[in-house]
Amino acid sequence: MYPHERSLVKRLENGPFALIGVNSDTDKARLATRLEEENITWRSFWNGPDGTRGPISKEWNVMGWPTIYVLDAEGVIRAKQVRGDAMDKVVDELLAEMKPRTAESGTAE
Amino acid sequence: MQTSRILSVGLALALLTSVAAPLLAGEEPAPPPVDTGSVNTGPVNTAAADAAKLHKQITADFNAARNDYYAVMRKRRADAELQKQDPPTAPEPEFIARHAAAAKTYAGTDAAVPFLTSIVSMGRSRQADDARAALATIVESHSGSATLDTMTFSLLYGVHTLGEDTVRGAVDALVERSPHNGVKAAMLYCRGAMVNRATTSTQDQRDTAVVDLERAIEIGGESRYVGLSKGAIFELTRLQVGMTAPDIAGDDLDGYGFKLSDYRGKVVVLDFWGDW
Repeated sequence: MYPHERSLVKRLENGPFALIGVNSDTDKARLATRLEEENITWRSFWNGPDGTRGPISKEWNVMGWPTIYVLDAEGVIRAKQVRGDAMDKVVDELLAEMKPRTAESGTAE
Repeated sequence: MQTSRILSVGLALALLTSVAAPLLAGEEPAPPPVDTGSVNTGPVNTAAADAAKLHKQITADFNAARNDYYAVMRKRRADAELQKQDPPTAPEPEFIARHAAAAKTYAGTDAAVPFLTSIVSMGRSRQADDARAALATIVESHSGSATLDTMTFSLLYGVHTLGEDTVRGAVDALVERSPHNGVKAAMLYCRGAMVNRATTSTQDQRDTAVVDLERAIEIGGESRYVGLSKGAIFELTRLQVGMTAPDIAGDDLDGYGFKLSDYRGKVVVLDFWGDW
């Protein structure tokens, strides 16, 4: 998982894109070491001391890890449970969707 | 009471035959030995008690065998030399056979149910035919059992291997026939949650699922399926493709507060993860 996410984040680092995690680890000291080791640079909410039973995953009815949602620039859910290349494809399509609008607002300014 | 006595005798006979079983090629593996002393001298419900004990034993043996299997597989992944050898045998077939032998011993009584549900659980990924046969027996002969909620997640996660029609047929029958609200609530939850797990769903399917889940909440009492049903309704009504994602406000791993909506204007991959 990590190598794929790292390359996605790296590839889109200058684009209107963010990978946001909801992390369900309970041992934060150990996690800090792992973030270093794996070069995990993206931001995560912490799901709290109850780990996988924490409040965010509970509200989102998460039953398995990882669970992935892809949101467009308006915050609308556009895909669920996509992984790997399928996830990249959805992200690229949503970024392509944004381009015309970015251009319009660019000319208006 | 009388039935239980007859069962005890039946168990004693089954044990006698099982001693001879290893001599016959092609026979199903015999159930492991149980404490036969209690069969003749114990209380009248001893068949059910012995079945429970046997089920516990098979489950403990299976867990141990599975841990050994995983340990070998882990070593193998890290060692190119080991990878040249034949892979170890997965423990499921042996234990499905043990559960099947025990289910046969107790056939026709609800003492067989734990063995049958274990077959559904173990068989669903690689021995789907066995799992389907056990499920059919459960629906035909044991729909009145109070413990069928134990197979809820085997059914929910088994949809893609057992077949949606098979799972739906069994769940529909149990919702209809079970006299136990705990089992009914579990099956209603399963039927509703199946729609969440499907790759796509129509508004009609989601509406029907919400009705099932609301019914599960209504009759579920103290059961865990009440909370699970509430979560499933939230997902069906708020977390579908095309809906605006609910906001998340919380702390990041360094303790700084932020919100999901801070990222409006960007495409966001929201990844529920853990390092394990």
